[in-house]
Amino acid sequence: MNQYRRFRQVTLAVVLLSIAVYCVAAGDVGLALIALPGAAGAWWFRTRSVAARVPRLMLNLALLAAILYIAMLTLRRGIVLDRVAELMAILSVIKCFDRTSARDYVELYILSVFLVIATVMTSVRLEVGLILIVYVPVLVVGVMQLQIYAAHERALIASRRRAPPWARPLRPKRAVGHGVSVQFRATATALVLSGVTVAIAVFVLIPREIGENFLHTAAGSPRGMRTSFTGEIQLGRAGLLTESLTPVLHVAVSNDAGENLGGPAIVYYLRGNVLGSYDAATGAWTRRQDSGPARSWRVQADAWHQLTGATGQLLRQEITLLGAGDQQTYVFNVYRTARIRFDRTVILDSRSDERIVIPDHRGELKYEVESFIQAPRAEEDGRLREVSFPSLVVRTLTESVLAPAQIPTAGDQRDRLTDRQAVIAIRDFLHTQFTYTTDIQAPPTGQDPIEWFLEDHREGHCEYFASAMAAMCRSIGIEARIVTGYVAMEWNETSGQYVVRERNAHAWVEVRDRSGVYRTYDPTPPDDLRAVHEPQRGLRARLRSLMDAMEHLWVSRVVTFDSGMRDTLMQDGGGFESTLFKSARALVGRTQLAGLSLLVQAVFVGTLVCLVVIAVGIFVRAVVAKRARRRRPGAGAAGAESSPDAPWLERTDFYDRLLRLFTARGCPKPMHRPPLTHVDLIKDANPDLAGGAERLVSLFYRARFGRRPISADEHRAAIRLVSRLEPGADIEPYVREVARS
Amino acid sequence: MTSPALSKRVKLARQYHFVSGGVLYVAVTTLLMLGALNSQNNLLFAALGIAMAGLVVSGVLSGAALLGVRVERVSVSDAGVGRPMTIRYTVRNVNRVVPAFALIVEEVHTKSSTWNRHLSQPRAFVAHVGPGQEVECEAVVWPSTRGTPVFDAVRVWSSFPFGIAKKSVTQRTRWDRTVVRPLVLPMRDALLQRPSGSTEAGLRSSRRPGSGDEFFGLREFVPGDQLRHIAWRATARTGKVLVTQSASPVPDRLWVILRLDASSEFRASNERAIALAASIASRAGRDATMVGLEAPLVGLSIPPGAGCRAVDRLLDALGRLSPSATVGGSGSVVSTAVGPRDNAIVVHAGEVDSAFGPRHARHISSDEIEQWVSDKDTIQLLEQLAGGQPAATRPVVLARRFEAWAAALLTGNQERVA
Repeated sequence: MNQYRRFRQVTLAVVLLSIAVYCVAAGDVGLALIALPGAAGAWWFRTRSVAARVPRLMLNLALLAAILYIAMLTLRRGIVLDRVAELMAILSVIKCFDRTSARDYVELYILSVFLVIATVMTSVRLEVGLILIVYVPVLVVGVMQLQIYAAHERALIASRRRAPPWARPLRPKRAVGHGVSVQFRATATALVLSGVTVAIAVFVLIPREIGENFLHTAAGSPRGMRTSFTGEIQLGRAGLLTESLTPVLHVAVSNDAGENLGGPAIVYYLRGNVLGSYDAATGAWTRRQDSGPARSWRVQADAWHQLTGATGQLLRQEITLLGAGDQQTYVFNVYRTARIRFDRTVILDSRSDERIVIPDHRGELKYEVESFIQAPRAEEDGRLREVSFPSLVVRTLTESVLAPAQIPTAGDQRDRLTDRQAVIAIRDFLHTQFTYTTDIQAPPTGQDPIEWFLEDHREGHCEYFASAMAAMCRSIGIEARIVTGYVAMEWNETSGQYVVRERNAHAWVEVRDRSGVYRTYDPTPPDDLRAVHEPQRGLRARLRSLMDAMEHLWVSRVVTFDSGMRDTLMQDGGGFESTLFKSARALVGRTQLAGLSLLVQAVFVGTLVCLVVIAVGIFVRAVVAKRARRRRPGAGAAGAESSPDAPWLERTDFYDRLLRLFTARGCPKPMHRPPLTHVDLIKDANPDLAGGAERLVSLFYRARFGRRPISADEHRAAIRLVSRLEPGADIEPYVREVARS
Repeated sequence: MTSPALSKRVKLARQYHFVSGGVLYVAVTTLLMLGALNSQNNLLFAALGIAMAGLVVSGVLSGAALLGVRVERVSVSDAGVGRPMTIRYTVRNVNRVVPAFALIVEEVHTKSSTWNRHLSQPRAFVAHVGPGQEVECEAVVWPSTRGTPVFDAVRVWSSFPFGIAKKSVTQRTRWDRTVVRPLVLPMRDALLQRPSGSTEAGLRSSRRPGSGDEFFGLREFVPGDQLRHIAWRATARTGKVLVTQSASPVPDRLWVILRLDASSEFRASNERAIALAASIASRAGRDATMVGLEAPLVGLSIPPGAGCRAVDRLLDALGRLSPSATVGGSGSVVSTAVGPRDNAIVVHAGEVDSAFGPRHARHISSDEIEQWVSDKDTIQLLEQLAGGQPAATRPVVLARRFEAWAAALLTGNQERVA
């Protein structure tokens, strides 16, 4: 039976897929390089021969060592789900060396399933989803085969019970019906299809936002894509800016008419954190402590929350955040937020600098922001502050920059216009006189990184440029602050959205004018900025673009699926609005019980889904069976070979028809009974049938065992005869025809 | 041996059984639900959906498949303690759409069945039965005690497709009965030697002419007779050509007489005595001795017969024998069929009572059975039981295992046997 031979291969595939899905989710290349070849090698080693099995003691020692290793890591770094998953991956590899009893296979499958569950709990990435789409059908097939394997083993064990010690193992006859492979495939297909359908129904119908965080964060939050964006800037550290192409945000920008305002040539700055305080000793930019009183709101899911009352041209930003930092989630937006809506209930924190965060949240998040383009950034307190930058180097350099344009450096000698001219002069100075690089070198110990950048090194990345501009502005009394966030520059035509990647993290400057309004300036050389952030071209970029579109679909339709989307699906139905749904809702309306609504809808949709599943199952089975029949002409219950290997069996389909006729006439031929014996047995009860059948069986025997092909005339005669084998019919002429031919 | 069908009933009793796999599955599903609700992680909701879908489709498929399965017991082979017994079944799937996979067919113990006293639960495996198809399967069991097991009902169960629940359908089928013969051990040659002091035993002459050595009589010469058979003196005396005719050879006759005890205290001794009797009978049958059986306690008397059939008949009788079913009286009267020239061995359950049985009989206690087991023949028996092939394990090890196994059987220690 082919299923037995394939069972081991399928089991290995299940193990490898589960390890792979974890390694992909955790980004653990090392484990992948060790565990995947290790499991495959162990499997090969185990199945090579019985003598090659590893002693049980060694396996137990290996298990103990793995558990101790993970326990040590847990003690050192705390209880993390990743450790448990890692342990399961290692145990899977060790178990691959173990015996091949059904119990061992069951343990392997359990480990595999637990590993996948642990992975799902820690990652919602598209790659994980894609591997799971492959994993689930393979798992289903493997578990089905496991049941056959285990049942066979149980029967074997029973046949050896109370056997004398010298008795050789007896293998009872293994009963297998005809067409097992085809029917197994059909059953597996039907199971997978119906299972997926029911799973989708459950996924859609199960109520959300019930019991959220009732276990607190015991299991941790899912790990999405890690963002390169951090809340603070730390200058003076050596290293390299990330070149990671991992997407972190999907951004769609539209106006109030719903027109998409995005495009390949349009760039948006997504504002994240605001940093106004600089420590020259450490080179760190942090948030100003006096940036107004903290405000906090609880925003219900799918409800608009008004932040400001500004009016003007509306800009709607639909942002899907694929991952966030460890402690809190920054709410990115393009313009000043007028109102905001989230896909789940969140707590918002904000101050007058309009940095918006969601504390104690990780993972994906989907929200919409409505801004007004004309509305500038809000004033913090309406008063101009005395600002300065305590560096003579910066002050001297700024004076030298402004001197050619004859812009006074003293604040009281400038007005609003000259302030703006000074800022632009500084920005242009940085654009033209400095070099952008992603290769970061550390400044000499004890030297202010900004002074080192401006005076000595003259090379740096966006944080150096933004820091330098903010410092130079402050040195002449113009209030400036650094903003960190992302640059949305990569336009995806397929999804109609911007894809923002880790490498698109950026820092720029906001300068406050004399009216108290903060205006945005980017001191990073525009060509370099474009070179760094512009999307790549070529085939790989196109493929990546396709993956991004898929990822967007995955995130927006699966990962961030919520009750709002379910209601949309159920009511508007994505074009699935039907009278049936209307009737169901009317029924619910009559009950006047709001709580019953979901239940009735669930039962209704569940019934509908079940009917669809049954219909699909019957259809699939019919198609598979028909295809199988086409592939195997003449392969009847006698187990004849297929035609490519046995050309003499062509034109033996009359025998299949004869077998069906036996069944239809109430005398089905058992598998074990030879056809001629069967004909003899039914001779008394069905003499008319037996007479013709004997002739047909003889013809079939000639082809089957004599390997003499049936001619077209013989085939025609046989078909005519088999179609005339009815009670009372005169078949004698047809019998003679077959005999003659 | 299969008795004719006493009743043919097809009654289905469908049952669901909880198994550890199902409990684990439900526990994992519950954890998934808690995890999904707590974290609102949609992939966990999807996993939960898949887990719940597994429950639903598994229940629907397995239930539909099992309800269409019909099982019939075809035959029950002859059996003996320490020898495999085969029970054959026919499994038919009357369902037109759903195939059945991974079926286990097993006997069910009911009020009217007795197989569980003699053998472990027979189990047959069916990998697949397609819609409208019929397959044959078989269960092999090793009986551990002699007797007449009765089979009444079968259960077919499966945990396909996911092993979440074990579904079973129990059917009352044809009523079958067979005989499990007693344990037959290889006996030493010395056991069958004539008892010392007995002069008459074994000296029997035939009453029919044949090709033996002993003289039978004279008859007239007919063409074809060999010249060396001509009795010259008699020919000269009578004037007719006469030839000497030999008597046909007659095998030795051996009576195995069982002295059993009806009280329950002697149950183990009775069983050992029966095993010893069966072993003696089998050994004697192999030496072409005519063997008869006498068990006065239960009123059993089988005259000596030659050949395999006679031995089988005798072993069957020993298999059916029930020491508790006494015929009354002391059971000490031995049949007069035991002639003075017949060999006789009295097997006593427990202590030897020399007054029991014929005067010239040899007396053996059931407690001596181990002494009479042949070391030499043990290996040969093992190989014979292993299918005529050399045993896989070393003979010495095998012999030790054999001794332990036989001792366990003889003492009725079923746990050791299992």
